[in-house]
Amino acid sequence: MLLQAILVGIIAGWQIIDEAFLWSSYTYRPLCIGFLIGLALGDIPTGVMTGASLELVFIGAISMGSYVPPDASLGTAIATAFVIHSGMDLGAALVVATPIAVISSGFKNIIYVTLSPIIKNYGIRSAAKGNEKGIYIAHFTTAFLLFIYRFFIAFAMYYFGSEAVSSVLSELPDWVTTSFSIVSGILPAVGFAMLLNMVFNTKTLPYLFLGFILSSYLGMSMLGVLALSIIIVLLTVNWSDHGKEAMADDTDF
Amino acid sequence: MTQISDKVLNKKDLRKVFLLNFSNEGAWDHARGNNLGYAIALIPALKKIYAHDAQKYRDALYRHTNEFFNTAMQPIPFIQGMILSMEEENAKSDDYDVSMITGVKTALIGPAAGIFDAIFLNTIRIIATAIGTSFALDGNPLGILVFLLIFDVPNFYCKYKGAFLGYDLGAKFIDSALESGLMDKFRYATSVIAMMVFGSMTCEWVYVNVTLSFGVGEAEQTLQSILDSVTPNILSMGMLWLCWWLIFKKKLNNVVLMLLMFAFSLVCAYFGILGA
Repeated sequence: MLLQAILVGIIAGWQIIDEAFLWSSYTYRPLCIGFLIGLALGDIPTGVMTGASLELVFIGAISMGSYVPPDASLGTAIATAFVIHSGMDLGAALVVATPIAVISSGFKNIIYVTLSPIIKNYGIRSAAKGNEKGIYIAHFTTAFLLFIYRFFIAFAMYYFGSEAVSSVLSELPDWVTTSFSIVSGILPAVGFAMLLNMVFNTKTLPYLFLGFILSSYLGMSMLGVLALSIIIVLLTVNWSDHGKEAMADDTDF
Repeated sequence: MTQISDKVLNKKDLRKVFLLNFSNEGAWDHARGNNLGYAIALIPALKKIYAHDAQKYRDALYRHTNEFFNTAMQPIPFIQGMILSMEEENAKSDDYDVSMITGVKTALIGPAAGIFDAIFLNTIRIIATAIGTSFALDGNPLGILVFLLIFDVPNFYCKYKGAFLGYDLGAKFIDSALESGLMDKFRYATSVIAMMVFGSMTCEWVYVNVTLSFGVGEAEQTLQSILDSVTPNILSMGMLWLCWWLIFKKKLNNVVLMLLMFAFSLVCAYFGILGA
């Protein structure tokens, strides 16, 4: 039981293991997690089937841009474990997986807002001093934190059973989960502000607003804005009269 | 004048860049994204490039860890290859404008994310999932293998080839730019492109939704819809400048700012001022 709980915990955190060690090979999708849980708990066919069903539920839960999706891997790991271990109905498992995934995302967001940047700042300060080890430490410590909370949630849920789980799930108030969505929308502005300071150029600043207005009013995609910016640059910059400078260079030796 | 044969990094170095990206997505935060994972891949290459200039090396390390970085996984080695060829130029000359490196990075990450997320996450992944799941719903574990092969073969091919391609492209570009004195114009051009893409990125990746509403019944309007009728996403731009002002004019520490934002979000969510 203990060994199985540990395995379930590790598999629940597989997303971070994949992203931090396996070059994001997407072996953490519900489809694969179902298989891994089945392997760990000794029932591969059920694991695979549950994983497949949950994959369809979570097919949209993928991180694109700065969108933080519900934690499909954790939800799938716990739900599949319940199906195999406690004989939970597949339908019930589908219902249980989603709130667990959402709560896990909430925790993730808390770490992203509080611990992640603090630890990473250590890495950045080390970089400024030329200390590469500091970068590695900061990076893998953050990754470890993101792993360990998932491990604990899955371990606890598997070890203490499904009844305790459902009662806790109903306790979290709506406004707390909403605040997570809000903060993940606002925070990129902090990082962007730093980036802005680095590329700041009063002569080309109007183009910042131009790009913004294109996306805002015309709904132009970033790719469209890039294409248009290249065209603007080709049209407005005088690319042809640098020949004089080249001729001047020829007289140097 | 540099020739392509003068290039510092060889195939082995670029292969290392590809391999060291193994950890890219492992440590996200909302303010800087995957900055450390991205920087880790560059460390050996930067060490080689700046072997003779410790200060520039430190500046380069700082530059690549301190800046926001987020894009799809597949074009990352390509972007890194280009960045490295620019860093090489910086190592060789004393008056290279490093904001150009930041500019190129900023200009590339948004659109690259758009293209490659659309190809890989929304197309190839869906196909791989569909076929793999059809096997797996019958309890057949082969479905997992099918899914991984369909998705990961093109995935890794892009990542592997990208490093070499980006580096060569960057090198060719810089050589011709130096030969004809194009550098200044290129500098200006990258600034324009970076600024425009940045504006677009702010609109798409910073999200503020004010759910406060006025009026009763049919006349009810949320504050967001009023703001949107002026300029959609105007608060995203506003938030960017607010953060910029707080950090650079008011000298607020960025971590403190983030915690304040979190507290602000909790309060706003509780009173229903802001929504998801």
